[in-house]
Amino acid sequence: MVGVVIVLAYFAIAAIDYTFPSLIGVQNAFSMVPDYTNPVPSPPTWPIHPFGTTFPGVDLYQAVMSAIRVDLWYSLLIVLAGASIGTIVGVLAAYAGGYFDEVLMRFTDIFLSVPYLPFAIAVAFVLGRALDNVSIALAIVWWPLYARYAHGQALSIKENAYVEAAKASGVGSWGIMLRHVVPNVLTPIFVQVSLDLGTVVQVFAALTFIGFASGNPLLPELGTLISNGFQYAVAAPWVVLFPGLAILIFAIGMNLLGDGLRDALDPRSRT
Amino acid sequence: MGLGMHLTQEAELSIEQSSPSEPLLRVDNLRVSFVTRAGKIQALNDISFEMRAGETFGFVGETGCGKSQTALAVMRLTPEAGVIERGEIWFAGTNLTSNISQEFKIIQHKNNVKLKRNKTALKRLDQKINEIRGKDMSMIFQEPMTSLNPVYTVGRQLSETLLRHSVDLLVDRILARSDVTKEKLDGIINAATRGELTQQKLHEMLQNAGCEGLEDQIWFILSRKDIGVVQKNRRISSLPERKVKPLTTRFLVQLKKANGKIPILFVILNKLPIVRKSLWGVIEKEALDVSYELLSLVNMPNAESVLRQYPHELSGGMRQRVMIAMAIATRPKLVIADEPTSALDVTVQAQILELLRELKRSFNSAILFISHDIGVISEICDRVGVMYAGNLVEVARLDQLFADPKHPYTQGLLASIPKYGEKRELLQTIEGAVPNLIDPPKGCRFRTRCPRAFEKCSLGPPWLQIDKDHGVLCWLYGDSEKHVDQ
Amino acid sequence: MACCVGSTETARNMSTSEEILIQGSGLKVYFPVKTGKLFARALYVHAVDDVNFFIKKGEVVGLVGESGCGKTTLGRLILRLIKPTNGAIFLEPDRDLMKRYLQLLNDLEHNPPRDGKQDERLQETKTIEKAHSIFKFGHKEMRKYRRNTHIVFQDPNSSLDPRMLIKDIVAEPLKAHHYGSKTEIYERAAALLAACGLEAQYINRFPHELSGGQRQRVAVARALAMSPKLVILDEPTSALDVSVQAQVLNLLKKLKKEFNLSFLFISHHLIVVRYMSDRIMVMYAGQVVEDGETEEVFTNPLHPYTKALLSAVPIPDAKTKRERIILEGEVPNLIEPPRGCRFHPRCPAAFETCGWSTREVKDSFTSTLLSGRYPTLSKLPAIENEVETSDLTFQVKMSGNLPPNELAEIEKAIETEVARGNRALKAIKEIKVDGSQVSSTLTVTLHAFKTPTLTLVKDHHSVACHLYAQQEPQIMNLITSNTA
Repeated sequence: MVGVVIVLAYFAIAAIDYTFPSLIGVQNAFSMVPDYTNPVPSPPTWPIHPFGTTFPGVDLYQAVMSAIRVDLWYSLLIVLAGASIGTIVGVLAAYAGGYFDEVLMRFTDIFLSVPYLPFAIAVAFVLGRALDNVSIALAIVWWPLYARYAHGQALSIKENAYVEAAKASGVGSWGIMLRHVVPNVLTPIFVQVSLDLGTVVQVFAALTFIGFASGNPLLPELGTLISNGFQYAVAAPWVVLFPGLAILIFAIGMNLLGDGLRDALDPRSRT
Repeated sequence: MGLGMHLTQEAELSIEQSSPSEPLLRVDNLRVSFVTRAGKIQALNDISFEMRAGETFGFVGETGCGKSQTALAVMRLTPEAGVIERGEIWFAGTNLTSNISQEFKIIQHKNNVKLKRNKTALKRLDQKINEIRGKDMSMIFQEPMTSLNPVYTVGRQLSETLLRHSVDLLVDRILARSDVTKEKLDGIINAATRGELTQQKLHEMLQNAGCEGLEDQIWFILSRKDIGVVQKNRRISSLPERKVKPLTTRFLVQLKKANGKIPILFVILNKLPIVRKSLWGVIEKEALDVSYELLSLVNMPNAESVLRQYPHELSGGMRQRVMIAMAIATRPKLVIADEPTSALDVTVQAQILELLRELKRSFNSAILFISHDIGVISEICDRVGVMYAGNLVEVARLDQLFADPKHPYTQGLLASIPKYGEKRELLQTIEGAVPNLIDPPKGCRFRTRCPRAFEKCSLGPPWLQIDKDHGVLCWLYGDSEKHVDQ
Repeated sequence: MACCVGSTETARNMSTSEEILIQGSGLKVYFPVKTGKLFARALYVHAVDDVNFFIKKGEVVGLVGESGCGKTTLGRLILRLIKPTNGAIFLEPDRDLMKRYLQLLNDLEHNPPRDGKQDERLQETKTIEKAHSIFKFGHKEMRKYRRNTHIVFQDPNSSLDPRMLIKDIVAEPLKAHHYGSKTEIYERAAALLAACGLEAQYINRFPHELSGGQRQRVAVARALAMSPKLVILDEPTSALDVSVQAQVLNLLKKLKKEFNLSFLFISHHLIVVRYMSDRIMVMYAGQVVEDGETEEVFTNPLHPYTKALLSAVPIPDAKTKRERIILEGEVPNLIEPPRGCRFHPRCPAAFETCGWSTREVKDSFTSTLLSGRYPTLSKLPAIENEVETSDLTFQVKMSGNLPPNELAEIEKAIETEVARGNRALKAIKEIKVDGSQVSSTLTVTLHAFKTPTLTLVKDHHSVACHLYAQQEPQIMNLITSNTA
């Protein structure tokens, strides 16, 4: 329940920020507004700078709000892309069986063995250090997990008597896959997606923190914010505190949501 | 002293029995409920029954009737969400439910029911019960794969039971070997070769010699079927060769006095191989030997290698034998068997039932046998209790149950089994389905399906004792003072 | 290959109005075992080994056996849910064609093909199979087959898709076979569910809202959706309570009569099988060991396994004193099943030709010599080594000279052991001694063994056991008598 509230709040913020940023007091949703006259981070004051300011004179509150939108967008992209590709590969492999299954799963294993950090670096090197490229890199690293997961689920679902009954009823392979295997696989996948969103936000922020910023240093992004303010962390803790909290609360919320989703989607509780 | 393995008819003479008038197990008005989000499930409703020493009592009923819960309640192993609301359970003179009013509290808040547990009271209960559970009362479960620990070998699991509960037995065995001399054994060997040795005679001879601890070991050797007389004699006479050092002897005597509990310092010292070998290791080895004897007792093929195997390497029948061996290891007074053969094939089931019958004869333990299969019950039980939706609706001797079932549910149950050999007609069925135990029918829980229900049935039906062994919970047979209600 | 007398025997029965609905011969299912090693010898689980069967129209055939006997595999094979390693199944076969086919198979068995010449017979069988066996069906023919057959599974929990509504579950086969418009489909689904005794309120529910018995009713309704001719019931009531079982069995009987169905009733519950079936097949370790009319088999079981199985059935009555045959041991490993008759290691009546292997006899032999039960053997020299030298012989090397009359003592000891009940030693044909001062070798030869085949013993009653082996079964007579 709590999870739903948190997540909904985040999505709401993101949506509003995109459409009517002034509603939540954001002046410029797509860029941070620096104030070079006052570059030193100043502590939170109400009502002008509720979260304080960060280097170089950017209002932290506005920055965080927009950053939430940006992060959410990229995370969603990554996870959904990874989940879709992974699920399709996993289910196909599990249902086909035999050599096809083996080959596909070994292929998946190869991708699974790629460490995301060096890979992201390599991609950035080749394609340039843009957030989009980071997302591509992460999505490529993320889908094998789903493939594995979906594969395992599909394998065990395949063994169920109702799949055999469908075969005996004359339903074709595609029909069985689409109507029996996939729906039953999707439930745990959904849960996994919601849990992963929390993780991906952190990973993404971590990468941008290290320095995979977009070309635009003023693009609001949680990791960027943290890295910007990192040097001032001791003297001005709010600079890292608020973006960090934003990530943390989102991850917690997503986790709770995932748990709740799992219970809710189980048809057994749909009485 | 340790109870001997009784393989002859002299069982009655050597066993300690509670006096015949006092039942071994007495359950009075037991009521068990489960507190869940959906409400309070009234799993057991005023169950009362008795078991005498050495008798086999069967509980039969369908899914959800409460037979497993009764067994668990007797062992005070009711699952977390369950609570014994009221009732008494007396086992061999001990009241197992003396403190239930302090242990649990059910708080009812409009539609919300909550369960409160008193940790200290439960801890006290645990201390009391752990002496009995596993020792005087043991259980055989339905799924041997899940009730045997997959990461320990069979030998280790069997030894564990012995080391926990029967340390005195083990110590006696070891020490007796040190006390005996070859001459004393010669007399026994001669008697055995001549074929004159009965269990009782052996017991006497050993008592005179002061080495009763040898009784089990000698009797086991003599009853082995795989070696000849010469080998048997050789083994018996080699018993005194397995003496122990004086230091070990002192250790063992202390251990026996402390009833098997060893101080923490010792546990640490035990890790040293030297210490282990001469002190605790001796007892462990003895436990392993007794485990071997137990496995042979349950007709386990290749008992020696089985001791070193893990549960997943054994088949279903063999695992169940291991469970039975564990259950009888401490010569319990009561063995509770919860559907022990339901997961086994028919022929393996026959083997296990035959084994249980043999053990019943030898050990004279009481068995509480739970099953949904009336056929299996009729193979092994003396008396039967029929359960329905949490109520004990009928209790009778086996022959009485089949010849003259009184309760309409019993009658319906027996009629719905195809008669072996008769064909063609449709089976008689019982209309409807088992009621929801959160909101069961008021009064008699069977009345919604009973072909003979009438107005009075909506009041709690009376328990009528028709004769010494036969009782029924039904208005059809008159009235009595003892009623079962909500 | 087991001879197809059972099926040919049908040919004789068929001269009356009863027709065969489905027939299978030479069915084998071997599952490959993954050993995890890269270059290991291929191991197979011989789940179904050379099984023949037939089911007549309107008949209930019971298939009994314990776990691992292959009955479930056979059920799935009939529905082509798994692929066979060998064999053919024919649905509503033409009588004369079947006669010819069986004749060919039998001929091939007794006169195996030598290159070239006999191949035409093999060719002909292959042609027949290609044309009519369900395993060679193409897509369209398979769909038609699936209309005519269906299955009810054991576990009501996993046989219904938990995410589908009841009405959709029953409508699935109708949709797959394009039964008609949506309204027609759902109308039929509702009618089927009503016929199976499920109240109308449950149509729009999910499986988890129904009880076990109700779910089985749904499974039955689904099976009957396209009006099949054959329904395979794989332990349909084993997971249900006794009173619910009675309801479901009554339902099955009613529906069978109403729709003139044929059932293959697979179960390990002998009381229920006896109640439901007209004919019964007993399987052990992948093979059929006995086949006959239900009452006949139950009252006069011939195969020792059947006898043990029937005596092990717990019958609910107060008379517990019954002659019980308790089998030792466990169901055999199907990767390396026992030679000859697969039941011989546990069979109380096993004798020399039943298939004893050198390993079994060797162990028994040496333990007899060493047991100490026979004081006359105490002068035997120490045993150094035991070696299996061929399929039917093994040698025991001893360090020392064997006194001349010791051999006679050994033979006497063996005889006494056999009398005491040691069956493996029955297989010993002769023992020879090669002696010297330093060492002696005993060479033990066993009797040759034969694999028992399903032979007709009485009217409609066949058994695969050497105890009843007669001379060559008169197949030709049976076939020709049918043409009359």
